[in-house]
Amino acid sequence: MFRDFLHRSLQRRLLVSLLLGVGLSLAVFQIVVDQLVDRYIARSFASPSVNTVERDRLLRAVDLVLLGGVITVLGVSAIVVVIAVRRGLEPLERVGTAAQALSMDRGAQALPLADIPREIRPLCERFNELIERLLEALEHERRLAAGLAHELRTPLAEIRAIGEVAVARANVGELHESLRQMTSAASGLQGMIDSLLAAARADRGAVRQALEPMPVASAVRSRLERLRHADPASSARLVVNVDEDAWVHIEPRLFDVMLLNLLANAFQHGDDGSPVEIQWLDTTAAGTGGVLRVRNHAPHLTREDLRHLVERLPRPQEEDRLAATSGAGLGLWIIGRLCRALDLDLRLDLDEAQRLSVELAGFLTL
Amino acid sequence: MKILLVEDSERLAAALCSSLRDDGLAVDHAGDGRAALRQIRVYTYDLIILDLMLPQVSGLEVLKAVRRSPAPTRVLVLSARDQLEDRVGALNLGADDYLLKPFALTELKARVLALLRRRYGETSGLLKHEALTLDTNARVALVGGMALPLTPKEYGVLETLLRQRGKCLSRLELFESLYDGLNDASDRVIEVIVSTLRTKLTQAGIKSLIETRRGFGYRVP
Repeated sequence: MFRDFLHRSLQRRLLVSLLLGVGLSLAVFQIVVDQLVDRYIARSFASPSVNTVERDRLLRAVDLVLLGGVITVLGVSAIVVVIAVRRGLEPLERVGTAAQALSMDRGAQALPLADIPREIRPLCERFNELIERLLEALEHERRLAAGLAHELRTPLAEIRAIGEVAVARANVGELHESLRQMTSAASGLQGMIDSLLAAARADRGAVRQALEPMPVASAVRSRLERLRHADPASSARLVVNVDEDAWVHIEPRLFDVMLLNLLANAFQHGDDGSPVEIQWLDTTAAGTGGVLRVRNHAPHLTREDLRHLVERLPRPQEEDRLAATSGAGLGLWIIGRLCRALDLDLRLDLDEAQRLSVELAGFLTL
Repeated sequence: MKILLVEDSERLAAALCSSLRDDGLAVDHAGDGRAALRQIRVYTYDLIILDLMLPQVSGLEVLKAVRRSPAPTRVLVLSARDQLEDRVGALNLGADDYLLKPFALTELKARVLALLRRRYGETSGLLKHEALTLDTNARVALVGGMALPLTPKEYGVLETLLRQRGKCLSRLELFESLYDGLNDASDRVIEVIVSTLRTKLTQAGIKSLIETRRGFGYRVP
Protein backbone atom coordinates (compact mmCIF):
# COMPACT_ATOMS: atom_id res chain seq x y z
CA MET A 1 0.00 0.00 0.00
CA PHE A 2 2.67 2.46 1.12
CA ARG A 3 4.94 1.11 -1.59
CA ASP A 4 2.28 1.87 -4.22
CA PHE A 5 1.75 5.29 -2.72
CA LEU A 6 5.47 5.98 -3.08
CA HIS A 7 5.88 4.48 -6.55
CA ARG A 8 3.13 6.58 -8.05
CA SER A 9 5.04 9.81 -7.49
CA LEU A 10 8.67 10.56 -8.19
CA GLN A 11 8.44 13.54 -5.84
CA ARG A 12 7.20 11.36 -2.97
CA ARG A 13 9.95 8.84 -3.58
CA LEU A 14 12.62 11.49 -3.56
CA LEU A 15 11.19 13.19 -0.48
CA VAL A 16 10.92 9.98 1.55
CA SER A 17 14.39 8.81 0.41
CA LEU A 18 16.05 12.10 1.31
CA LEU A 19 14.23 12.45 4.63
CA LEU A 20 15.10 8.87 5.56
CA GLY A 21 18.71 9.56 4.60
CA VAL A 22 18.89 12.78 6.60
CA GLY A 23 17.01 11.21 9.54
CA LEU A 24 19.28 8.17 9.68
CA SER A 25 22.41 10.31 9.38
CA LEU A 26 21.27 12.53 12.20
CA ALA A 27 20.31 9.52 14.33
CA VAL A 28 23.77 8.00 13.85
CA PHE A 29 25.33 11.40 14.51
CA GLN A 30 23.28 11.80 17.64
CA ILE A 31 24.21 8.31 18.94
CA VAL A 32 27.92 8.77 18.24
CA VAL A 33 28.10 12.26 19.73
CA ASP A 34 26.03 11.15 22.70
CA GLN A 35 28.40 8.25 23.37
CA LEU A 36 31.47 10.45 23.05
CA VAL A 37 30.05 13.15 25.30
CA ASP A 38 28.83 10.56 27.82
CA ARG A 39 32.31 9.00 28.00
CA TYR A 40 33.95 12.40 28.31
CA ILE A 41 31.63 13.40 31.14
CA ALA A 42 32.00 10.03 32.84
CA ARG A 43 35.80 10.37 32.73
CA SER A 44 35.66 13.99 33.95
CA PHE A 45 33.43 13.03 36.86
CA ALA A 46 35.37 9.83 37.70
CA SER A 47 36.64 11.20 41.08
CA PRO A 48 34.75 9.83 44.11
CA SER A 49 34.34 13.32 45.44
CA VAL A 50 32.14 14.29 42.58
CA ASN A 51 28.47 14.42 43.17
CA THR A 52 26.93 11.70 41.00
CA VAL A 53 23.59 13.48 41.08
CA GLU A 54 25.20 16.53 39.47
CA ARG A 55 26.90 14.28 36.89
CA ASP A 56 23.66 12.51 35.96
CA ARG A 57 21.85 15.88 35.63
CA LEU A 58 24.59 17.08 33.31
CA LEU A 59 24.36 13.88 31.25
CA ARG A 60 20.55 14.30 30.88
CA ALA A 61 20.99 17.98 29.95
CA VAL A 62 23.53 17.07 27.27
CA ASP A 63 21.22 14.32 25.97
CA LEU A 64 18.33 16.80 25.76
CA VAL A 65 20.44 19.41 23.95
CA LEU A 66 21.67 16.83 21.46
CA LEU A 67 18.18 15.44 20.87
CA GLY A 68 16.76 18.94 20.48
CA GLY A 69 19.49 19.84 18.03
CA VAL A 70 18.91 16.70 16.00
CA ILE A 71 15.15 17.29 15.90
CA THR A 72 15.65 20.94 14.91
CA VAL A 73 18.14 19.98 12.20
CA LEU A 74 15.77 17.24 11.00
CA GLY A 75 12.88 19.74 10.80
CA VAL A 76 14.93 22.34 8.93
CA SER A 77 16.33 19.62 6.66
CA ALA A 78 12.80 18.40 5.90
CA ILE A 79 11.74 21.90 4.81
CA VAL A 80 14.90 22.36 2.74
CA VAL A 81 14.48 18.91 1.18
CA VAL A 82 10.84 19.56 0.27
CA ILE A 83 11.73 22.89 -1.37
CA ALA A 84 14.80 21.46 -3.10
CA VAL A 85 12.94 18.43 -4.45
CA ARG A 86 10.04 20.53 -5.71
CA ARG A 87 12.36 22.99 -7.44
CA GLY A 88 14.55 20.20 -8.74
CA LEU A 89 11.57 18.45 -10.30
CA GLU A 90 10.10 21.61 -11.81
CA PRO A 91 11.65 21.05 -15.30
CA LEU A 92 10.27 17.53 -15.32
CA GLU A 93 6.83 18.81 -14.38
CA ARG A 94 7.05 21.43 -17.13
CA VAL A 95 7.86 18.69 -19.64
CA GLY A 96 4.95 16.62 -18.31
CA THR A 97 2.54 19.54 -18.63
CA ALA A 98 3.80 20.31 -22.16
CA ALA A 99 3.45 16.63 -23.13
CA GLN A 100 -0.07 16.57 -21.70
CA ALA A 101 -0.98 19.61 -23.81
CA LEU A 102 0.17 17.97 -27.05
CA SER A 103 -2.62 17.47 -29.55
CA MET A 104 -2.24 15.80 -32.92
CA ASP A 105 -5.28 17.65 -34.23
CA ARG A 106 -3.75 21.05 -33.67
CA GLY A 107 -0.31 20.19 -35.02
CA ALA A 108 1.75 19.29 -32.01
CA GLN A 109 4.46 21.63 -30.79
CA ALA A 110 7.79 20.17 -29.73
CA LEU A 111 8.60 19.90 -26.03
CA PRO A 112 10.42 23.02 -24.80
CA LEU A 113 14.15 22.33 -24.44
CA ALA A 114 15.12 25.60 -22.75
CA ASP A 115 16.20 25.16 -19.09
CA ILE A 116 15.89 21.40 -19.37
CA PRO A 117 18.52 19.59 -17.21
CA ARG A 118 21.02 17.61 -19.21
CA GLU A 119 19.86 14.35 -17.56
CA ILE A 120 16.45 14.50 -19.25
CA ARG A 121 17.42 16.50 -22.34
CA PRO A 122 18.18 13.36 -24.46
CA LEU A 123 14.76 11.98 -23.50
CA CYS A 124 13.02 15.22 -24.58
CA GLU A 125 15.03 15.43 -27.80
CA ARG A 126 14.19 11.83 -28.69
CA PHE A 127 10.55 12.45 -27.86
CA ASN A 128 10.50 15.53 -30.13
CA GLU A 129 12.07 13.53 -32.96
CA LEU A 130 9.45 10.82 -32.59
CA ILE A 131 6.62 13.37 -32.51
CA GLU A 132 8.01 15.03 -35.64
CA ARG A 133 8.14 11.70 -37.49
CA LEU A 134 4.66 10.83 -36.31
CA LEU A 135 3.33 14.16 -37.52
CA GLU A 136 5.05 13.67 -40.88
CA ALA A 137 3.45 10.24 -41.18
CA LEU A 138 0.04 11.65 -40.27
CA GLU A 139 0.44 14.48 -42.76
CA HIS A 140 1.48 11.96 -45.41
CA GLU A 141 -1.61 9.86 -44.72
CA ARG A 142 -3.82 12.96 -44.80
CA ARG A 143 -2.47 14.05 -48.17
CA LEU A 144 -2.72 10.55 -49.50
CA ALA A 145 -6.35 10.39 -48.38
CA ALA A 146 -6.99 13.73 -50.10
CA GLY A 147 -5.35 12.39 -53.28
CA LEU A 148 -7.43 9.23 -53.08
CA ALA A 149 -10.58 11.26 -52.57
CA HIS A 150 -9.81 13.18 -55.73
CA GLU A 151 -8.99 10.11 -57.81
CA LEU A 152 -12.08 8.21 -56.70
CA ARG A 153 -14.64 11.01 -56.48
CA THR A 154 -14.07 12.36 -59.99
CA PRO A 155 -15.04 9.18 -61.91
CA LEU A 156 -17.96 8.74 -59.50
CA ALA A 157 -19.09 12.28 -60.31
CA GLU A 158 -18.77 11.47 -64.03
CA ILE A 159 -20.90 8.32 -63.72
CA ARG A 160 -23.54 10.08 -61.64
CA ALA A 161 -23.76 13.18 -63.86
CA ILE A 162 -23.90 11.18 -67.10
CA GLY A 163 -26.59 8.93 -65.60
CA GLU A 164 -28.70 11.82 -64.34
CA VAL A 165 -28.49 13.66 -67.66
CA ALA A 166 -29.49 10.48 -69.52
CA VAL A 167 -32.46 9.94 -67.20
CA ALA A 168 -33.57 13.57 -67.51
CA ARG A 169 -33.41 13.51 -71.30
CA ALA A 170 -34.93 10.06 -71.71
CA ASN A 171 -33.59 9.98 -75.25
CA VAL A 172 -33.12 6.37 -76.38
CA GLY A 173 -30.78 7.45 -79.17
CA GLU A 174 -28.35 9.05 -76.68
CA LEU A 175 -28.66 6.25 -74.17
CA HIS A 176 -26.06 4.06 -75.84
CA GLU A 177 -23.44 6.81 -75.79
CA SER A 178 -24.27 7.63 -72.14
CA LEU A 179 -23.88 3.98 -71.17
CA ARG A 180 -20.59 3.76 -73.06
CA GLN A 181 -19.24 6.78 -71.21
CA MET A 182 -20.43 5.44 -67.86
CA THR A 183 -18.74 2.11 -68.58
CA SER A 184 -15.53 3.90 -69.47
CA ALA A 185 -15.63 5.96 -66.24
CA ALA A 186 -16.43 2.85 -64.20
CA SER A 187 -13.51 1.08 -65.86
CA GLY A 188 -11.17 3.91 -64.80
CA LEU A 189 -12.55 3.73 -61.28
CA GLN A 190 -12.05 -0.04 -61.19
CA GLY A 191 -8.45 0.39 -62.38
CA MET A 192 -7.78 2.86 -59.58
CA ILE A 193 -9.36 0.65 -56.91
CA ASP A 194 -7.48 -2.45 -58.17
CA SER A 195 -4.23 -0.48 -58.12
CA LEU A 196 -4.79 0.79 -54.60
CA LEU A 197 -5.64 -2.68 -53.35
CA ALA A 198 -2.56 -4.10 -55.07
CA ALA A 199 -0.39 -1.40 -53.45
CA ALA A 200 -1.95 -2.00 -50.04
CA ARG A 201 -1.52 -5.79 -50.24
CA ALA A 202 1.91 -5.86 -51.89
CA ASP A 203 4.14 -7.70 -49.51
CA ARG A 204 7.72 -8.67 -50.32
CA GLY A 205 7.45 -12.21 -49.01
CA ALA A 206 4.18 -12.96 -50.79
CA VAL A 207 5.39 -11.36 -54.03
CA ARG A 208 8.54 -13.55 -54.11
CA GLN A 209 6.37 -16.66 -53.84
CA ALA A 210 4.29 -15.56 -56.83
CA LEU A 211 7.07 -14.75 -59.33
CA GLU A 212 6.69 -16.48 -62.68
CA PRO A 213 8.23 -16.11 -66.15
CA MET A 214 6.30 -13.78 -68.42
CA PRO A 215 6.88 -12.28 -71.89
CA VAL A 216 7.02 -8.48 -71.60
CA ALA A 217 5.67 -7.78 -75.10
CA SER A 218 2.62 -9.96 -74.50
CA ALA A 219 1.83 -8.20 -71.18
CA VAL A 220 2.15 -4.80 -72.84
CA ARG A 221 -0.09 -5.91 -75.74
CA SER A 222 -2.71 -7.21 -73.33
CA ARG A 223 -2.77 -3.93 -71.40
CA LEU A 224 -2.85 -1.99 -74.67
CA GLU A 225 -5.88 -3.95 -75.89
CA ARG A 226 -7.82 -3.02 -72.77
CA LEU A 227 -6.67 0.57 -73.12
CA ARG A 228 -7.85 0.70 -76.74
CA HIS A 229 -11.26 -0.47 -75.62
CA ALA A 230 -11.55 2.03 -72.74
CA ASP A 231 -9.78 5.03 -74.27
CA PRO A 232 -9.14 4.77 -78.02
CA ALA A 233 -7.86 8.36 -78.33
CA SER A 234 -5.11 7.94 -75.74
CA SER A 235 -4.03 4.53 -76.99
CA ALA A 236 -3.43 6.03 -80.44
CA ARG A 237 -0.69 8.21 -78.85
CA LEU A 238 1.25 5.20 -77.63
CA VAL A 239 4.54 4.20 -79.26
CA VAL A 240 5.59 0.68 -78.19
CA ASN A 241 9.21 -0.37 -78.45
CA VAL A 242 9.43 -3.73 -76.68
CA ASP A 243 11.52 -6.68 -77.84
CA GLU A 244 9.37 -9.77 -78.56
CA ASP A 245 12.02 -11.98 -76.94
CA ALA A 246 12.12 -10.12 -73.64
CA TRP A 247 11.06 -12.29 -70.69
CA VAL A 248 11.01 -11.42 -67.00
CA HIS A 249 10.39 -13.12 -63.68
CA ILE A 250 7.54 -11.13 -62.19
CA GLU A 251 4.19 -11.33 -60.42
CA PRO A 252 1.95 -10.88 -63.50
CA ARG A 253 -0.90 -9.04 -61.75
CA LEU A 254 1.45 -6.47 -60.21
CA PHE A 255 3.25 -6.00 -63.52
CA ASP A 256 -0.09 -5.22 -65.15
CA VAL A 257 -1.00 -2.77 -62.37
CA MET A 258 2.34 -1.02 -62.86
CA LEU A 259 1.82 -0.84 -66.62
CA LEU A 260 -1.70 0.52 -66.14
CA ASN A 261 -0.51 3.26 -63.80
CA LEU A 262 2.56 4.16 -65.85
CA LEU A 263 0.43 4.64 -68.95
CA ALA A 264 -2.51 6.27 -67.17
CA ASN A 265 -0.12 8.74 -65.54
CA ALA A 266 1.50 9.59 -68.86
CA PHE A 267 -1.85 10.01 -70.64
CA GLN A 268 -3.59 11.97 -67.91
CA HIS A 269 -0.78 14.28 -66.92
CA GLY A 270 1.34 14.45 -70.07
CA ASP A 271 1.00 17.07 -72.72
CA ASP A 272 -2.18 16.49 -74.76
CA GLY A 273 -1.58 15.03 -78.18
CA SER A 274 2.12 14.31 -77.76
CA PRO A 275 3.24 10.67 -78.07
CA VAL A 276 3.79 8.43 -75.08
CA GLU A 277 6.64 5.98 -75.55
CA ILE A 278 6.91 2.65 -73.76
CA GLN A 279 10.26 0.95 -74.09
CA TRP A 280 11.98 -2.20 -72.80
CA LEU A 281 15.74 -2.06 -72.25
CA ASP A 282 17.70 -5.18 -71.38
CA THR A 283 20.64 -3.93 -69.33
CA THR A 284 21.46 -7.28 -67.72
CA ALA A 285 25.02 -7.03 -69.04
CA ALA A 286 25.43 -3.76 -67.16
CA GLY A 287 24.17 -5.46 -64.01
CA THR A 288 20.88 -3.59 -63.73
CA GLY A 289 18.55 -6.25 -65.17
CA GLY A 290 15.63 -5.26 -67.37
CA VAL A 291 14.34 -1.69 -67.49
CA LEU A 292 10.79 -0.64 -68.37
CA ARG A 293 10.67 2.99 -69.45
CA VAL A 294 7.70 5.26 -70.20
CA ARG A 295 8.33 8.74 -71.58
CA ASN A 296 5.92 11.60 -72.12
CA HIS A 297 6.22 15.29 -72.83
CA ALA A 298 5.88 17.31 -69.62
CA PRO A 299 6.46 20.96 -70.53
CA HIS A 300 5.53 22.43 -67.15
CA LEU A 301 7.50 20.12 -64.90
CA THR A 302 10.82 21.17 -63.36
CA ARG A 303 13.64 18.95 -62.12
CA GLU A 304 12.88 20.21 -58.63
CA ASP A 305 9.38 18.69 -58.88
CA LEU A 306 10.67 15.18 -59.56
CA ARG A 307 11.41 14.24 -55.97
CA HIS A 308 7.88 15.18 -54.92
CA LEU A 309 6.14 13.11 -57.54
CA VAL A 310 6.63 9.71 -55.95
CA GLU A 311 6.43 10.64 -52.29
CA ARG A 312 3.03 12.30 -52.85
CA LEU A 313 3.86 14.69 -50.05
CA PRO A 314 4.50 18.09 -51.54
CA ARG A 315 4.15 21.12 -49.32
CA PRO A 316 0.67 22.66 -49.62
CA GLN A 317 1.78 25.52 -51.86
CA GLU A 318 3.53 23.02 -54.15
CA GLU A 319 0.59 20.65 -54.22
CA ASP A 320 -1.57 22.88 -56.40
CA ARG A 321 1.31 23.66 -58.68
CA LEU A 322 2.19 19.97 -59.07
CA ALA A 323 -1.43 19.11 -59.69
CA ALA A 324 -1.30 21.62 -62.48
CA THR A 325 1.85 20.21 -64.06
CA SER A 326 2.38 17.32 -66.38
CA GLY A 327 3.50 14.12 -64.74
CA ALA A 328 2.01 14.29 -61.25
CA GLY A 329 -0.51 11.71 -60.18
CA LEU A 330 -1.40 9.14 -57.59
CA GLY A 331 -0.31 6.49 -60.10
CA LEU A 332 3.36 7.21 -59.47
CA TRP A 333 2.87 6.78 -55.74
CA ILE A 334 1.26 3.38 -56.37
CA ILE A 335 4.14 2.40 -58.67
CA GLY A 336 6.61 3.46 -55.95
CA ARG A 337 4.90 1.19 -53.43
CA LEU A 338 4.90 -1.75 -55.83
CA CYS A 339 8.56 -1.18 -56.73
CA ARG A 340 9.48 -1.46 -53.06
CA ALA A 341 7.65 -4.79 -52.82
CA LEU A 342 9.27 -6.07 -56.03
CA ASP A 343 12.79 -4.77 -55.23
CA LEU A 344 12.77 -2.54 -58.31
CA ASP A 345 14.29 0.91 -58.65
CA LEU A 346 11.95 3.71 -59.64
CA ARG A 347 13.84 6.44 -61.46
CA LEU A 348 12.48 9.72 -62.74
CA ASP A 349 14.25 12.04 -65.09
CA LEU A 350 13.47 15.14 -67.11
CA ASP A 351 15.60 15.68 -70.18
CA GLU A 352 16.40 18.93 -71.99
CA ALA A 353 13.45 18.42 -74.35
CA GLN A 354 11.15 18.41 -71.27
CA ARG A 355 10.42 14.71 -71.62
CA LEU A 356 9.56 13.01 -68.35
CA SER A 357 11.08 9.56 -68.21
CA VAL A 358 9.77 7.09 -65.63
CA GLU A 359 11.95 3.97 -65.39
CA LEU A 360 11.43 0.77 -63.47
CA ALA A 361 14.84 -0.89 -63.24
CA GLY A 362 16.05 -4.20 -61.87
CA PHE A 363 13.67 -6.71 -63.45
CA LEU A 364 14.94 -10.29 -63.33
CA THR A 365 15.34 -11.20 -67.00
CA LEU A 366 15.38 -14.71 -68.45
CA MET B 1 -26.92 33.93 -68.36
CA LYS B 2 -23.37 33.06 -69.35
CA ILE B 3 -21.46 30.39 -67.49
CA LEU B 4 -17.88 29.12 -67.80
CA LEU B 5 -17.33 25.52 -66.77
CA VAL B 6 -13.67 24.83 -65.94
CA GLU B 7 -13.29 21.06 -65.65
CA ASP B 8 -10.55 18.76 -66.93
CA SER B 9 -12.69 15.62 -67.02
CA GLU B 10 -14.08 15.63 -70.55
CA ARG B 11 -16.88 13.20 -69.69
CA LEU B 12 -18.09 15.22 -66.70
CA ALA B 13 -17.78 18.50 -68.59
CA ALA B 14 -19.80 17.16 -71.54
CA ALA B 15 -22.61 15.96 -69.24
CA LEU B 16 -22.74 19.23 -67.31
CA CYS B 17 -22.58 21.43 -70.40
CA SER B 18 -25.41 19.62 -72.13
CA SER B 19 -27.58 19.63 -69.00
CA LEU B 20 -27.05 23.34 -68.31
CA ARG B 21 -27.58 24.22 -71.97
CA ASP B 22 -30.84 22.27 -71.90
CA ASP B 23 -31.93 24.77 -69.24
CA GLY B 24 -31.23 27.68 -71.58
CA LEU B 25 -27.93 28.74 -70.07
CA ALA B 26 -24.99 29.68 -72.28
CA VAL B 27 -22.11 27.48 -71.18
CA ASP B 28 -18.49 27.69 -72.31
CA HIS B 29 -16.05 24.98 -71.36
CA ALA B 30 -12.34 25.24 -70.51
CA GLY B 31 -10.45 21.98 -70.02
CA ASP B 32 -7.47 23.43 -68.15
CA GLY B 33 -6.47 26.45 -66.12
CA ARG B 34 -4.71 28.23 -68.94
CA ALA B 35 -7.73 27.98 -71.25
CA ALA B 36 -9.90 29.29 -68.41
CA LEU B 37 -7.66 32.34 -68.00
CA ARG B 38 -7.93 33.01 -71.74
CA GLN B 39 -11.72 32.73 -71.60
CA ILE B 40 -12.15 35.12 -68.67
CA ARG B 41 -9.97 37.68 -70.42
CA VAL B 42 -12.26 37.63 -73.46
CA TYR B 43 -15.74 37.23 -71.96
CA THR B 44 -17.57 38.44 -68.89
CA TYR B 45 -19.26 35.52 -67.19
CA ASP B 46 -22.12 35.62 -64.72
CA LEU B 47 -20.86 32.46 -63.11
CA ILE B 48 -17.79 30.24 -63.25
CA ILE B 49 -18.03 26.59 -62.18
CA LEU B 50 -14.45 25.80 -61.25
CA ASP B 51 -12.60 22.56 -60.55
CA LEU B 52 -9.49 22.99 -58.37
CA MET B 53 -7.15 20.25 -59.62
CA LEU B 54 -6.55 21.40 -63.18
CA PRO B 55 -3.76 20.87 -65.70
CA GLN B 56 -1.50 23.81 -66.66
CA VAL B 57 -2.75 26.34 -64.08
CA SER B 58 -4.44 25.34 -60.83
CA GLY B 59 -8.05 26.22 -60.03
CA LEU B 60 -6.97 28.42 -57.13
CA GLU B 61 -4.81 30.49 -59.50
CA VAL B 62 -7.81 30.88 -61.81
CA LEU B 63 -9.91 31.94 -58.81
CA LYS B 64 -7.33 34.57 -57.85
CA ALA B 65 -7.33 35.89 -61.43
CA VAL B 66 -11.14 36.12 -61.41
CA ARG B 67 -11.08 38.05 -58.16
CA ARG B 68 -8.44 40.43 -59.50
CA SER B 69 -10.80 41.46 -62.30
CA PRO B 70 -13.56 44.01 -61.59
CA ALA B 71 -16.31 41.78 -63.06
CA PRO B 72 -18.92 40.70 -60.44
CA THR B 73 -18.60 37.08 -61.53
CA ARG B 74 -19.83 34.43 -59.08
CA VAL B 75 -17.62 31.38 -58.59
CA LEU B 76 -18.88 27.93 -57.67
CA VAL B 77 -16.02 25.57 -56.83
CA LEU B 78 -16.73 22.00 -57.87
CA SER B 79 -14.05 19.79 -56.42
CA ALA B 80 -13.23 16.30 -55.20
CA ARG B 81 -11.04 17.81 -52.47
CA ASP B 82 -13.05 17.18 -49.35
CA GLN B 83 -10.82 18.52 -46.59
CA LEU B 84 -12.01 21.41 -44.45
CA GLU B 85 -8.95 23.50 -45.29
CA ASP B 86 -9.63 23.08 -49.03
CA ARG B 87 -13.16 24.43 -48.63
CA VAL B 88 -12.11 27.23 -46.29
CA GLY B 89 -9.13 28.09 -48.52
CA ALA B 90 -11.27 28.38 -51.64
CA LEU B 91 -13.98 30.42 -49.89
CA ASN B 92 -11.37 32.72 -48.37
CA LEU B 93 -9.89 33.29 -51.82
CA GLY B 94 -13.26 34.54 -53.03
CA ALA B 95 -15.29 31.50 -54.07
CA ASP B 96 -19.02 32.02 -53.50
CA ASP B 97 -19.89 28.37 -53.02
CA TYR B 98 -18.20 24.95 -52.80
CA LEU B 99 -19.75 21.71 -53.98
CA LEU B 100 -18.09 18.36 -53.43
CA LYS B 101 -17.89 15.67 -56.12
CA PRO B 102 -19.84 13.49 -56.66
CA PHE B 103 -22.96 15.62 -56.53
CA ALA B 104 -26.61 15.52 -57.54
CA LEU B 105 -27.22 17.40 -60.77
CA THR B 106 -30.34 18.98 -59.27
CA GLU B 107 -28.27 20.34 -56.37
CA LEU B 108 -25.69 21.76 -58.74
CA LYS B 109 -28.41 23.49 -60.77
CA ALA B 110 -30.09 24.85 -57.64
CA ARG B 111 -26.78 26.31 -56.48
CA VAL B 112 -26.09 27.73 -59.94
CA LEU B 113 -29.49 29.45 -60.01
CA ALA B 114 -29.05 30.74 -56.45
CA LEU B 115 -25.67 32.25 -57.34
CA LEU B 116 -27.10 33.81 -60.50
CA ARG B 117 -29.88 35.38 -58.41
CA ARG B 118 -27.32 36.73 -55.97
CA ARG B 119 -25.31 38.06 -58.90
CA TYR B 120 -28.26 40.38 -59.66
CA GLY B 121 -29.15 41.08 -56.02
CA GLU B 122 -32.35 39.03 -56.03
CA THR B 123 -33.61 37.20 -52.99
CA SER B 124 -36.43 35.15 -54.49
CA GLY B 125 -36.57 33.22 -57.72
CA LEU B 126 -39.39 35.39 -59.09
CA LEU B 127 -39.02 38.34 -61.47
CA LYS B 128 -42.25 40.35 -61.86
CA HIS B 129 -43.43 43.02 -64.25
CA GLU B 130 -47.12 43.89 -64.16
CA ALA B 131 -48.99 40.66 -65.00
CA LEU B 132 -45.82 38.89 -66.12
CA THR B 133 -43.94 36.66 -63.68
CA LEU B 134 -40.72 34.79 -64.39
CA ASP B 135 -39.98 31.81 -62.17
CA THR B 136 -36.21 31.61 -62.56
CA ASN B 137 -36.00 28.28 -60.72
CA ALA B 138 -38.52 26.53 -62.97
CA ARG B 139 -37.37 28.73 -65.89
CA VAL B 140 -40.92 29.47 -66.95
CA ALA B 141 -42.78 32.72 -67.79
CA LEU B 142 -46.33 33.11 -66.44
CA VAL B 143 -48.99 35.60 -67.39
CA GLY B 144 -51.97 35.59 -65.03
CA GLY B 145 -50.87 32.16 -63.79
CA MET B 146 -50.76 30.70 -67.33
CA ALA B 147 -47.41 29.55 -68.74
CA LEU B 148 -46.18 31.29 -71.86
CA PRO B 149 -44.86 28.84 -74.49
CA LEU B 150 -41.36 30.36 -74.81
CA THR B 151 -38.29 28.69 -76.27
CA PRO B 152 -35.19 28.59 -74.01
CA LYS B 153 -33.61 31.47 -75.95
CA GLU B 154 -36.75 33.62 -75.79
CA TYR B 155 -36.97 32.93 -72.09
CA GLY B 156 -33.26 33.80 -71.79
CA VAL B 157 -33.70 37.19 -73.51
CA LEU B 158 -36.70 38.01 -71.32
CA GLU B 159 -34.91 36.99 -68.12
CA THR B 160 -31.76 38.95 -69.00
CA LEU B 161 -33.72 42.10 -69.81
CA LEU B 162 -35.92 41.83 -66.71
CA ARG B 163 -32.92 41.18 -64.49
CA GLN B 164 -31.26 44.33 -65.75
CA ARG B 165 -34.42 46.38 -65.91
CA GLY B 166 -33.84 49.96 -67.07
CA LYS B 167 -30.45 49.11 -68.60
CA CYS B 168 -30.12 49.15 -72.36
CA LEU B 169 -28.45 45.93 -73.55
CA SER B 170 -26.89 45.81 -76.98
CA ARG B 171 -27.56 42.99 -79.43
CA LEU B 172 -24.03 41.70 -78.84
CA GLU B 173 -24.42 41.72 -75.06
CA LEU B 174 -27.64 39.75 -75.31
CA PHE B 175 -26.04 37.36 -77.79
CA GLU B 176 -23.06 36.72 -75.52
CA SER B 177 -25.30 36.09 -72.52
CA LEU B 178 -27.30 33.49 -74.45
CA TYR B 179 -24.78 31.70 -76.64
CA ASP B 180 -21.58 29.90 -75.73
CA GLY B 181 -18.28 30.94 -77.28
CA LEU B 182 -18.23 28.09 -79.80
CA ASN B 183 -21.53 29.07 -81.38
CA ASP B 184 -21.01 30.57 -84.82
CA ALA B 185 -24.47 32.16 -85.16
CA SER B 186 -24.64 35.90 -85.88
CA ASP B 187 -25.80 38.32 -83.20
CA ARG B 188 -28.59 39.27 -85.61
CA VAL B 189 -30.37 36.17 -84.33
CA ILE B 190 -31.26 38.31 -81.30
CA GLU B 191 -33.51 40.47 -83.54
CA VAL B 192 -35.42 37.36 -84.58
CA ILE B 193 -35.74 36.12 -81.00
CA VAL B 194 -36.92 39.52 -79.72
CA SER B 195 -39.44 39.72 -82.53
CA THR B 196 -41.03 36.33 -81.78
CA LEU B 197 -40.89 37.09 -78.06
CA ARG B 198 -42.77 40.36 -78.57
CA THR B 199 -45.41 38.55 -80.61
CA LYS B 200 -45.95 35.96 -77.86
CA LEU B 201 -46.08 38.63 -75.15
CA THR B 202 -48.54 40.72 -77.14
CA GLN B 203 -50.75 37.67 -77.71
CA ALA B 204 -50.73 37.14 -73.93
CA GLY B 205 -51.84 40.72 -73.40
CA ILE B 206 -48.48 42.29 -72.50
CA LYS B 207 -47.70 45.08 -74.91
CA SER B 208 -44.66 47.33 -75.25
CA LEU B 209 -42.62 45.46 -72.62
CA ILE B 210 -39.40 45.46 -74.60
CA GLU B 211 -38.29 48.81 -75.97
CA THR B 212 -35.94 49.12 -78.94
CA ARG B 213 -33.44 51.96 -78.72
CA ARG B 214 -32.07 52.39 -82.19
CA GLY B 215 -28.30 52.08 -82.35
CA PHE B 216 -28.12 51.01 -78.71
CA GLY B 217 -30.16 47.88 -78.15
CA TYR B 218 -33.10 46.70 -76.07
CA ARG B 219 -34.40 47.42 -72.61
CA VAL B 220 -37.33 46.82 -70.27
CA PRO B 221 -38.24 50.18 -68.75
